[in-house]
Amino acid sequence: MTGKAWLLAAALLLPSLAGAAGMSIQASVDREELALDELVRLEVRVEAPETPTLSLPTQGFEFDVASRASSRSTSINMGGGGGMKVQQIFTFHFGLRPRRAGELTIPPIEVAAGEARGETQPITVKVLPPGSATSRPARPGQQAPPIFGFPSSPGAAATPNGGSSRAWHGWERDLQLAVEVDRTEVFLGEQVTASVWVLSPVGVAETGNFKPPAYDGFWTEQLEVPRELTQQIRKKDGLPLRAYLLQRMALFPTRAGPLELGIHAIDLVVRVASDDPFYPFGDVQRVTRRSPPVTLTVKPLPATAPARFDAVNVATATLTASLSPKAAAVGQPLTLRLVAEGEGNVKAWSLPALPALAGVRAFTPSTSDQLKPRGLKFAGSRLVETVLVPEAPGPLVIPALSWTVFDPKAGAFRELRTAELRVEVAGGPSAAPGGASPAAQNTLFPGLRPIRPAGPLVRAGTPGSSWPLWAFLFTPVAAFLLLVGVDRYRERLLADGGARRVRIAGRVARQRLTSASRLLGSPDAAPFFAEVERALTGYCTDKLGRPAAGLTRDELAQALAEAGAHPPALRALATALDACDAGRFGGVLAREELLEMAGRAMATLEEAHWHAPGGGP
Amino acid sequence: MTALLLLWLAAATPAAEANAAGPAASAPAVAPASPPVDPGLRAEQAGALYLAGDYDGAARGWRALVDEGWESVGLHLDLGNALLRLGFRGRAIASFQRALALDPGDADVQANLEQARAQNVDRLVGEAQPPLQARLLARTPDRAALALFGLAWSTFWLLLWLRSRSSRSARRWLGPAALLAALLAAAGGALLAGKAADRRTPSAVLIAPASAVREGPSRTLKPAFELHEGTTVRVLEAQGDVARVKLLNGLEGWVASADLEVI
Repeated sequence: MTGKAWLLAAALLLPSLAGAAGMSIQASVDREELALDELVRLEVRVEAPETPTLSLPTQGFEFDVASRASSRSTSINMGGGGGMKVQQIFTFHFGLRPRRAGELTIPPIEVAAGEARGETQPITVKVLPPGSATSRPARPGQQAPPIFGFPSSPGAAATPNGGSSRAWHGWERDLQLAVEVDRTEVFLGEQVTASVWVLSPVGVAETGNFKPPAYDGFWTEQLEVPRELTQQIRKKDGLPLRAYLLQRMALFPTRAGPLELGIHAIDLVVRVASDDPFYPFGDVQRVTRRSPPVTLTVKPLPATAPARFDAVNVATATLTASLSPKAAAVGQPLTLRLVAEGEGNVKAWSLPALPALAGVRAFTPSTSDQLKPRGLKFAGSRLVETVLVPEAPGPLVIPALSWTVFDPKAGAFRELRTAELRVEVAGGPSAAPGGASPAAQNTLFPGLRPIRPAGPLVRAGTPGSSWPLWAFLFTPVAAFLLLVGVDRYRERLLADGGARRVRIAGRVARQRLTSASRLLGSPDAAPFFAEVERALTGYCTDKLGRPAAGLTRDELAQALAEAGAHPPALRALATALDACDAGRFGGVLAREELLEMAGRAMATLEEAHWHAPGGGP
Repeated sequence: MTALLLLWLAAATPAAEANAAGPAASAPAVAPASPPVDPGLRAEQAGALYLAGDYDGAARGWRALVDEGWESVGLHLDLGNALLRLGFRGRAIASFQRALALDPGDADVQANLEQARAQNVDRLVGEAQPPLQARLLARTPDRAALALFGLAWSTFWLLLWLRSRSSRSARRWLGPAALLAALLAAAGGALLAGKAADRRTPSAVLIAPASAVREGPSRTLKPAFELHEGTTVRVLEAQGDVARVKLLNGLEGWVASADLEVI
């Protein structure tokens, strides 16, 4: 650094005065001269009680911000008679890319922390045309990379801007996300191996939010994705750097012409040296890095491709076929295995199809892949299995199968061929009488349980439309209702019996009197009198609803009166019954007179308003 | 219980329609010639063809009987055997499953079905064991469920009638007996209703060697996965020539109806 530059840096490092009460602001750049295609690093240090915010100017700011990072450190000063003093220092780093050549000025940057306001001094840098040789800032990277963020030697701790800080801030420039490809010119379908690395002069503690591009125009397969960051030491431009592999991909271009791998991005947490001598453990800073795009040239395949060539078959491979078992009988399945093995996009390979074979039934083939990358090359094998069932005895010949591929190593098309396969098919079961078809003679499923008589066949139908369901559903209900109805009817009939007997009592009694009249001429008078008495007492029994024979005359008269008989009727009945008793026991009453007396008593009783037994009307 | 029965009755007709509208492609085709009148005799003739090695002729004979509406465990078993011998594994599995629907405990059918399924390409991941109700439904023949319901239902009403005309002492045990019969009738009704619900989403078997399963009914959709011959699915709905199916592990998708045979 020239003496002029030292003076410039010293001037810039003076604390800003503008309104920075309780806040100290310093701004510095790592160089005062740079080429148009280079970056200048701007560092703004703010000592403030609260977290400050920076506003980059929008007017007159002729730089693009290529990167930004921030950190915070806390220092505790004890002594000086002032007691313990806690300081918080916020450091902001900007990577600025100039937009034009010439004298460019970084305008004042406004800083606000709570109520405090301030701004940096303007800084002027000289921008030379692209590719110009400029005085590069001092780089500690000329030494071994610092371990855990600390410079490896005291001499390397001096910063290029000559400030009082002992930490080195050039790590931002050398921390990169790089995409490396093993070749930039390939054939269509040929593998390109892309490795994504983090290159850093300081330790990387953590990675996150890795965003790969869409890889438009490529078929991608992962070769390697480390589970944890592993550090390697690599040299770049003579500078030893830590290198961390993020992922390694096999890319297969799917179209010819220039293809660009898009931008990868990642968030990193790095450990850097502390500015504070009282805090020797270093700072942790978060930064974001993007990879520059990588352009590949994809050459089309030679125009001399054979007619049967499929563009997905770009491979350095071999093709074999096998048939098992080696002997078979009609109907016994055989398996044809076609195996392609080698380097290339295994999952996309299209293997040759088996042609139709006479007397052989071929089932739909099944495909399986086994991937075994060889170093940085995507490789493996693709297996196509086809089950064949011979349907006729005799030799079964699988013809040689041809597979045309483009070998990118040789840069030419190759035709891979399998050997012809032959197996002798023994005869199956003898032909069935009636000319059974060959297919009927196969011996598939030998352990099948035999057929049986079909048994009684029934009509299949849905249960909803079959009569048993309806019968099961409604018959019990109907039967229940019918039986209950019959019971009720019988009970009703029984209940109606008393009234009916009351109603027909006169008719019954008259029938008995008629019977008694037939006994008028009988020499034995006892049956006549007994029949007349039965007619009268039976009449009373029916009217009362209970036996009347056991009642005295008074009880009978009272019961009849309660049942509705009026006194004249009661008297007529009593007279008739007395006459009947008199006649039975030797009285002189003529039979005809008794019959007439009983008839009058009946007629008189019939005039009464009888109640039904039990109190009914 | 009555509601369950009404559900069953209401479901019976759509189920029949689903069966009729389903992909009942017959292979081999139904014999068009006028067959003998006696179906038992025709079944015997087909059996004779089978024993003579003419599996194709036997399958045609038995298939014609099935298409005419005849069924028995033996008929479906025999047809399944013939189809299996002919290489129609998916259709054979469907026939065996029809036999099991009639008699879930038939050991011969179970053994042959297991043999046919042993060559299935698809292995379902995450296949859950069916719930107890589904297993009970699968293992109960239709006729057994109907008989259980009918007997319990009839007994219930008989006991009610006896109770109405019995003495007080007899009513003490007739009441609980009627309650037990009612519970059994409800169980039988639930079985019948469950079977009716099953018929709304009938089972089907893939009969095509491979069938693309899409996430929608449109054939322009990219296939999500592929099913192969012999896999049993449940048909949830049909739209045109595609059907929405559900696998036993819960996966759903749309397949061509022609690739299915509804059981």
